[in-house]
This record gives sequence, C-alpha cells and structure tokens, in this order.
Amino acid sequence: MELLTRDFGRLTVAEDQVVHFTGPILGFEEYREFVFLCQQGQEGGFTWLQSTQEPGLCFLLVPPELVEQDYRPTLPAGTAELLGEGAYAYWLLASIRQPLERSTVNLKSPIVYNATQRTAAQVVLEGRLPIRRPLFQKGASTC
Amino acid sequence: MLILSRKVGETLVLDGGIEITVAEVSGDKVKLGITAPPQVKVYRKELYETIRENRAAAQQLAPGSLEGLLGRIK
Repeated sequence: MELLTRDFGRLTVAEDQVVHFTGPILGFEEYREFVFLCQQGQEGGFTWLQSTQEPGLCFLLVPPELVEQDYRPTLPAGTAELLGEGAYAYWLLASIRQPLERSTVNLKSPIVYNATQRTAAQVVLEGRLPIRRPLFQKGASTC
Repeated sequence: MLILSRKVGETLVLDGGIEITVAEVSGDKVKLGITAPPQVKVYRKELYETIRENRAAAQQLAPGSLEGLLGRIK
C-alpha cells in the first residue's frame, strides 16, 4: 500500500506490516492503524510510529534499554486479552524538546507490541514510574 | 496542599457543583465516588499526564533535532 508519511514522504508498505492498536494511544483514540518505520543501520534504535490514517500523526519511539537497563514492566490485568498470545516487546514514546536536554520518555505508559498478532496497545503501568524521564541522564557523554 | 480528614461515607464539595465521597477504604486503597456536571472531565492523574505527554510526543521534530539526538546516542 502507498503511505504518505510525516517525515519520510511517500512510502510503499506491505499490508501485513500494519499494526492494529487494540488499546489506543491515549488522547488519539480514533487512530488505530500504524506502521513502524525504522531507518536501516541507524544508531540508538529509534523507530517511528506512523499512522496509516493521518499522514501528520507520527511518534518517535525509543527502546527502553536506551534509558533503563532492566525495564520489566508488570502488565495490567487484561493486557493479554487486548493483545492476544505472543511475545511482547516494549517501546517508549519520546517527547523531543528544544534544547534536547529537555527531551523525555514515558516509562509509566509504554507501547506494548505483539509481533505475532501485529497488535499493540498503550498501557498505563501500576507503581511509581516516571511519565517524564529525561532521555539524556546528567553526566552522560555528549561527545 | 490542603489536607482534610474524611471518614467513609463523608463527602467534600468543590466549587459548589462537584462532590467527592469516600466510598471505601481497604489497606492502601481508597475508593472515591465523584459526582460532577457532565462538562467536568475526571481523569486518573497518570492518564491525564500520559495524554498530555502523548500530545507533546506527537509534535514534529524541529529541524536538526534528529541529527542532534543521534549524535548523543552511541
């Protein structure tokens, strides 16, 4: 399928690459179909989550390992019913701000992705986890 | 922050039209009943903040941001 994207112009994406959000990205409940777009060989493992319904709607996702060595969320009851059986992967929504030091990721409400069923959901986790965790820790290398 | 003590079944009134009643207390969990006019939206704070943060995350990156990000992550 032809897809108009926010950051990469027009792309051709296989239909079976579309991910269905059985649990919505909160505040964006009407958008349920997305594709993951990643640039080959890119450092950091960033991925774009592009809506197939609205070209202007796109999120930057960060793998949790980038900010948290041991991110093993306890998923809320009902997640398995939402996503079906399979192996789940986690992505963090990043808010990129200027200057870049103000950029944050949301550890409290990750995107949970089931590659087997091509389903995903944003879940809000129990417990004390930051909604705005700085993407760059103080003292981290800047070179 | 204003801190008030309430017992189960007792109520607070906010701004004349919003009532918050302590429905049940069990261990570290409190169940609250909320009565409010329909235009008043009630959210769990973590949901409200996630929605706000998602809106921020949907903003287009400023030119050069991506290069700046990638330069920092090695």
